[in-house]
Amino acid sequence: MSLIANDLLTEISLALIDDFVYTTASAPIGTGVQTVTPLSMTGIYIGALLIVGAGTTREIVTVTAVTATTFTATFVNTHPLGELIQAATFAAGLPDYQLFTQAEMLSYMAVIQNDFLVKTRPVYVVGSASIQTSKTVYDYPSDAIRIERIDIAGTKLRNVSTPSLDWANLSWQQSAAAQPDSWYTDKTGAKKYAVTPSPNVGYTATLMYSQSGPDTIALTDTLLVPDPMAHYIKYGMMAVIFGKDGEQRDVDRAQYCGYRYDLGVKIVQVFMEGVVAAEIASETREMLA
Amino acid sequence: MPLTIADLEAGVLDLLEESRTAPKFWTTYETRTAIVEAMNEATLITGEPEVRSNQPFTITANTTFQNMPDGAIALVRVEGPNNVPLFKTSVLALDRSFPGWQNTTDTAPGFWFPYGLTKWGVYPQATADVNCVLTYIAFPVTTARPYTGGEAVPFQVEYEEGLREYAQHTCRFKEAGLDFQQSFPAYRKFLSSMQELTRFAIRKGALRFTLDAGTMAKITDVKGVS
Repeated sequence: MSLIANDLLTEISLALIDDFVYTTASAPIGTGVQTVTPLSMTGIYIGALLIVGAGTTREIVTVTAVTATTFTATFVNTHPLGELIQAATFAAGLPDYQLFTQAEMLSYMAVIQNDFLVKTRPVYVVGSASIQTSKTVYDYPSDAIRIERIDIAGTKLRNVSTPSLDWANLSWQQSAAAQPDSWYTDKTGAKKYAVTPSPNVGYTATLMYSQSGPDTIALTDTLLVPDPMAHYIKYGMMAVIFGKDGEQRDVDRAQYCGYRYDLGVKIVQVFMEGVVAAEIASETREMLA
Repeated sequence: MPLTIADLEAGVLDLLEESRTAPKFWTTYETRTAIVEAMNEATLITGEPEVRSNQPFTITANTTFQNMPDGAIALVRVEGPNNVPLFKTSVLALDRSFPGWQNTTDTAPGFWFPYGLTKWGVYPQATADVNCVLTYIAFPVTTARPYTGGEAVPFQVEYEEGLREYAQHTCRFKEAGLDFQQSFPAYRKFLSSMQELTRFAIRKGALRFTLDAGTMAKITDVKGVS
């Protein structure tokens, strides 16, 4: 069972000694704009995102109005009496000045997860790309950290560089069009790759690449990082949270969390090298014959 | 009888000077989550628990890449028909040894290779579905939160003290200041235990943990701040 973003945010709430929402609906909830009476209004405020329900009817709703005992939101699904309502909402500081917002926490999570994925690269994708006639430069897949290998119909393309192409043939860019046999990433622009020779017809290429996470994360999104590594994301987030300027600033705990995050990165790197040992491509460029 | 999270939790509450039946400052959500975090860290450092699945895994025909089974972090062994093990290789090694390997098929694969932590591959592709037995490093806990306490602790008894120390240290994080700093020896004790237990992690390649990986963050003496 994969952790969701709200699970990590709940842990952080507890570390901040901040209330979070974990209650149930005292009556069935219909669709559309509904006023709900939960058993507890702790942590619920206008603008808060709440997770209502579980399974296929689970949804995230935004609170648009509150009273002492009710909140109003727009629902897509119906929910029965006793339906679970939960979320880490970071209400501390309200109504004067909220110390942290859900959007802020989720942005930290996205950034830290991607930093972790860049450093450890535990997830790889097998994707495809349409290689078009006479087109040599292509964009990386939007979720790619680094392309490791490209092949066309099972024939691996050599990973080269423009200097090695220059050494082999100064006029390589004027070579007759043919099925590409090499690819390179230098001097192509940010997050682009190129194939050579220029394709004579269209091909479908298979790309093997390390995967990055999304730029935005929702409360119910699962992390790309496997669950046993998710606590390192938490520590990375808390290094930022306790290090930022504000009432909750705690330099000592920020430093500790930074240490735990860095150690976690090293532990996972050793794990990947020692247990997984999944060499996909050589770290050095392949020389042309 | 195997230990459960609730068994470890009792010891953690003792270390936190909390009532075992009615804790006040920490909830069961916190203590159990801390115990599971301890187990996750122990798994990544030592490579345990290693599980030989009792359910056959079906290698899909005419397909190189297979999905990891649920609850598996990393494969360590794949046994094909008649429990004959497949050789472990890598994409790089296949490219160097068998150019064009992706187009090769046979009645059953002879090699397997890891592809990150979410996929793995076989060579050659099987011409029909093939059942195999997987051995892998498993998630210590696979249930969703909140944990009930009934979840089994899948480690040998030598892990227990380290897991309790880690959990109490993690729980004390929210105390901040000296109360948290004074729990640092507990975390060191966990790391030291795991370092010793990695010596038992044979045939896992270079999976050895050293405390040289990082030094403890320098902590300002709170009492010294004027």
